[in-house]
Amino acid sequence: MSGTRMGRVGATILLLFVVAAVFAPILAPHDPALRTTQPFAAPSFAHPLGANDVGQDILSELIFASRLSLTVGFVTACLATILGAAVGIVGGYLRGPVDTVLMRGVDVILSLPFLPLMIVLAAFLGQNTTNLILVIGLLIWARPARLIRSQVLSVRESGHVQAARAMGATHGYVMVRHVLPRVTPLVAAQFVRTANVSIMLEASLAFLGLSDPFQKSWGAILFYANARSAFLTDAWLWWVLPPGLCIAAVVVSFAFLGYALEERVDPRLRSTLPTSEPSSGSGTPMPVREDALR
Amino acid sequence: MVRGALEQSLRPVLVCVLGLLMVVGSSPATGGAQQPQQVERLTIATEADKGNLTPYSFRPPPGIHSELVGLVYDTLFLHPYTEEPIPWLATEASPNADATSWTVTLRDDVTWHDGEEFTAEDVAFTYDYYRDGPPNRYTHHASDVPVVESAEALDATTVEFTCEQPCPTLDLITLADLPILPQHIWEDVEDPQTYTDLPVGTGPYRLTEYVEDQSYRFEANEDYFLGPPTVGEIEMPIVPDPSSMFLALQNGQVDTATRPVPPELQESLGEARDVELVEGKRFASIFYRFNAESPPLDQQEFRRALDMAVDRQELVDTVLLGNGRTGSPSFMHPDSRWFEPQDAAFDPEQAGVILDGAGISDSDGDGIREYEGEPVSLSIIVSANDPLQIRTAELVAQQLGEVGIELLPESLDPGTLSQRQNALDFELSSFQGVPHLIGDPTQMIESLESLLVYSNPEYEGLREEWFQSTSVEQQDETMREIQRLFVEDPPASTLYYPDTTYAYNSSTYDGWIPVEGHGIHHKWSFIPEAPELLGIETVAQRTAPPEEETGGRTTLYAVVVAGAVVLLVLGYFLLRRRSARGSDEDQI
Repeated sequence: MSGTRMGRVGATILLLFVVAAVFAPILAPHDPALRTTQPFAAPSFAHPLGANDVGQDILSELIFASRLSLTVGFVTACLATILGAAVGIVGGYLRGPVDTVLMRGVDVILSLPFLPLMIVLAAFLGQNTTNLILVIGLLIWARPARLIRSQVLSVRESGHVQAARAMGATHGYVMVRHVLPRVTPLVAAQFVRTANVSIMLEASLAFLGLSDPFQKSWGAILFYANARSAFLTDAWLWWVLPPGLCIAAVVVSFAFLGYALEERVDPRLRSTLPTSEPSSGSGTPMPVREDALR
Repeated sequence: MVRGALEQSLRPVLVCVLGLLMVVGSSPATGGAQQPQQVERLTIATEADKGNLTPYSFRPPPGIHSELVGLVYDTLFLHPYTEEPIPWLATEASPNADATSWTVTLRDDVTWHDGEEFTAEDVAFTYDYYRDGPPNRYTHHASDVPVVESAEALDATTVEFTCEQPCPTLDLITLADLPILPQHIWEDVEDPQTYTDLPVGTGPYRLTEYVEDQSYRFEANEDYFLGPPTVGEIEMPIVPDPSSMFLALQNGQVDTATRPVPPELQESLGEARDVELVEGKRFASIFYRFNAESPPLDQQEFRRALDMAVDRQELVDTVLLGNGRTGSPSFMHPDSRWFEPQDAAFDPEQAGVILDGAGISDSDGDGIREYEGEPVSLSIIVSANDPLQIRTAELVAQQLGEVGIELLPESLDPGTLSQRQNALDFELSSFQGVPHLIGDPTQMIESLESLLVYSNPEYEGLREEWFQSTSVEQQDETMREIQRLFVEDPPASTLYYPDTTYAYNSSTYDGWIPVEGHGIHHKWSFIPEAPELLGIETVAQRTAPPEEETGGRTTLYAVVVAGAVVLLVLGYFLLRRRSARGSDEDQI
């Protein structure tokens, strides 16, 4: 599967989930907060995925839960990418002591044991969604920062940046006007990656009972399913599998989008030469042209 | 040709019939298991680490700590929830006229696990140590309710106890609850909380191995004064995750589990091979504690209305799937002999009337009542580890919403939860009632002050009356009056009493006896004489097939023979059809 096609598949799946999240009240057959049938009801026509341990419709829960999972994914990814891009660009462009300090900070964050730290922080800060977003966001910005910095290092040596500097442009101006646009594709790819990671993390924490159990999320559905023995009865078929598949589908869609974007940024990842795909002109990689000019 | 076909088609039928007959014929005569079963080793999965099993090692969450301690240590009497005192390490106890002083005679054939002789000095030492030393779950029985002023060894087998006030329940509760420590070991222990050696007791089992958070191993005390226990070795892995625990039970990796089987699992687990379920009669409850210092919870009328607005039947039906009883204002467990039955009045309308009368009404029409200008919005803290309590809080919040009280559930990790509970940093808090708390009146008197912070002028009088009572009957009557007080002024809101159903593998061991307040996992399940002493049948004796066994067997034979005849007839017709078809083919 070529990168573009992968990207399209990913975007389609993601779009489906976004639509489900936005139109949840219309799409969901029941109000997931209401007890609409018997606890532990098996699937039926009125409740295609049965009911959970207090009689709430699982399908409706699933649809409404996509709101929280996607929100956490997007907001956290925004936070982490903005932070990562800022650190990466500033560090890579300014070099010197600023870079050293920032990169040692990145090293510290990268060397932290991830999930255990998240669990401790989540338990310590208390269980609400804002805290969850902050905790995940503040822990996953380091990788994007490192990657963006390495590209900035090459960008800052390129001709037009040097020229702008020679003409007396301030650091801020150059970083925003010349460096940022050049690393934007990479930033976009990193955004997708962090969204992916944060959705997984949110689900893991919720499954472990470390997020707000009164909020509907896929991880929380799994938490109750596990706690009420769904793994030992037939209920895993309609109580465990669907939220698991939802998480998997969203993660895969983000991964596909990520591959597609990364491929645009790094031509070495392409299976075919750029010339064989003439129509996709918009994505012609800048570095190639730049090097040719020099 | 025809003969061959007959043989061929009849053969499977014959095999089936013969097989059935053989199975039926060879089934052994079951039942009549009067002799206690002897088992070499058992594996019991338990849900939490309870330390090195000295009386000081208790750690939350509540579980079977007392029962595990009881494997190693013995008490003078049995056990605190009985009707009549049953002698154990003691042979008899007699009070003086006003029950302030007791003379207790001890057995003379008991030795400690390390070979030392058990004497009255050990008993006297234990009570002094509990009264004056650092507190544990047992000590308040000697230092507070009642105050055991002195315990004196008169000779090697006689101890005299003196209480500050009359203590008519000394043999029934106090002596039946407090494990006796060996003086020769504990007199040198400076800080019992940090004591990490394996315990030495007089009990039927020795704790031979303890790996923190992993497992316990017990070995039978062959010199036990009631004879060797029925199980030679008990392996006790610690399995915190319920799913793993019951999966292991289902697969036969463990023989029983100390966690009650959740209602949703009972059907499928009961169908598993050899797995049987039994109601363990352990006392359990879920109750909400009020912080009576935070307004409007400081208003008695408000607390009463709150209690009234909770539909307990709905909680039992939804959360427990009907496997439990609704909470009673008495706070005690309905199976405790001290329980005074009272109806929990679910009456949202009356609750509304009471609230209106107390000036807590919805003046701005937003559906939430106001108290002194502020909307009534309370938070309830529950453990994030307990989904049942989380679900319960959700339901109660909905129910209170109906009468215009906003309840906001907040789930906390166990550490933060107990921290905030101890600091009284909550408005409502969800608690788990353990046997000790909801079965024992001396603990109740203690808890009303320490845990529930109950203040009611009428109660003060009754409490004094309780302390002055010189007979069990008198104390019982006062206890019942105290519970009647709770209808008007609840100290806490008991939501429900869940059933405690346990699962065990009947093919490996069936000597379990369900003891009120203790479940089935305790030393009495392993002591051959215990069923007789306690007057409780083992599960094996209970499920032993009735006498009309032969009649049952005859019916079975009749069914099998009828089945065989039907099969033969079917086979015959099959054969005829086939041979008819065969001859058709021959003709062609």
